[in-house]
Amino acid sequence: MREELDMGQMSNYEYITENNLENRQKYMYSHYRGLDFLQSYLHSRREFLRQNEGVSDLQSTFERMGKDKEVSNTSKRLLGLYKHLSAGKWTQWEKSELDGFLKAFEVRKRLYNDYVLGTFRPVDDTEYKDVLNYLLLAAALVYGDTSQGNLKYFNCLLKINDTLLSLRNDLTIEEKKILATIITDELCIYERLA
Amino acid sequence: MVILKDVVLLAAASARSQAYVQAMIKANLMPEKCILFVGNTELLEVGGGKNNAYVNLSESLVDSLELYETPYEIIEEENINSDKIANVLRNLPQSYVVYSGYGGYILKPHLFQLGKKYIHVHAGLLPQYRGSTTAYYSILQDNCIGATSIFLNEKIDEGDILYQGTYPLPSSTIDIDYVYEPWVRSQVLIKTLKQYAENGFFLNEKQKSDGAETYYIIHPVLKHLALWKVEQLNYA
Repeated sequence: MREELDMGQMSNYEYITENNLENRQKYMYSHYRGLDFLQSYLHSRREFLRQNEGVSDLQSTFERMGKDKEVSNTSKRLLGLYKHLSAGKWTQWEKSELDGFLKAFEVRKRLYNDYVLGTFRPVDDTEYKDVLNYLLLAAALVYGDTSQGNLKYFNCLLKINDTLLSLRNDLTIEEKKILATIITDELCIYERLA
Repeated sequence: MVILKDVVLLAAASARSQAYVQAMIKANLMPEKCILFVGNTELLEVGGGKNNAYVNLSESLVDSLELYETPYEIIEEENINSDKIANVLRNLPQSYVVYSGYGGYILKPHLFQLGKKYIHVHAGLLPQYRGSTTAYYSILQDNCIGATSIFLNEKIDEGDILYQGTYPLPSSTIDIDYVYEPWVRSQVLIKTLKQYAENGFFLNEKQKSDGAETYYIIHPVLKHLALWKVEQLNYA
């Protein structure tokens, strides 16, 4: 049985201590706490990686999950986007899709299972708790950052990974493995900037 | 003191407003009238901060205006989109409104039906840095902080550009949110107003969308990296 992550050690990093889908983070006017804060952030990620290994082939994992008939329309869309990005494509279409989902998450701090056609307005009464949506967008944002070098993608990735980590005790083993792979990528980007 | 004809300042009780008023005084430029809008009028009487090389936050808006005998009016209302403020604006003879509002409030469409042009200074070069907390992204990506004055329109950060400039990174002891960024905005405002004083009109050009990017509230990790970068540059 997987051990529960040490809440005490990770709780110094305040952005993952509660369910972020229900208690949405605002991230406004954060105070500067110097290196201590950055160390608490790194600890929050490394502790998760210490307890969870990643997947060897993220794309294959997503494709297998995408064949499940229960997959939401948002997941289908994000899987299509992820495939394009992982194949090195970056046209106006990829940018519009990625920027659209980025804005959708940044504004509401949630991803909904379905959006009104041609918009990023959630369909009425649609759910927002499907973890696969968040994992797919996070993985797509890694490509957005590495291909474009624009920090808005990394910014959103940090927030989505905060949300996923805030749900860590409810994730399946496979979801944790996928998240571990994405967090490894996140830390590579962080190291490049730090 | 040069009085800017047809121009009024509409200012919230904020560090940005303090920076604007002090910069205008220093540049010897003043609008015909200042309108201060605030939920609690006591906030206008206190400085709320310390003096520093950029903005004297210990000097309140009212103190600054009274020192230079600039006519001002106080409206007890914090919501820029309220009917109260709309009525005040509607009855103003001036066409141009230099706007310094509270963060998080966006001007609603009815304010654009009043025949006024709102001048806003965005803390970022446009169109490359639309959106929020753009100073920090600019620190990380471009090693500078920019600002752009625009005529506001109903779209966010897409108005016609009046003036824009970039400024070096500050000393690490200076608060970016409450001191340096407001100061940078005030400097671009002064350049904009000087051009108006010289020409009698605001030079402006339509903002292009090529290269436009919109940024969202910066994650604390990135904010810390930006501030850490400023510290390192100051110690280099």
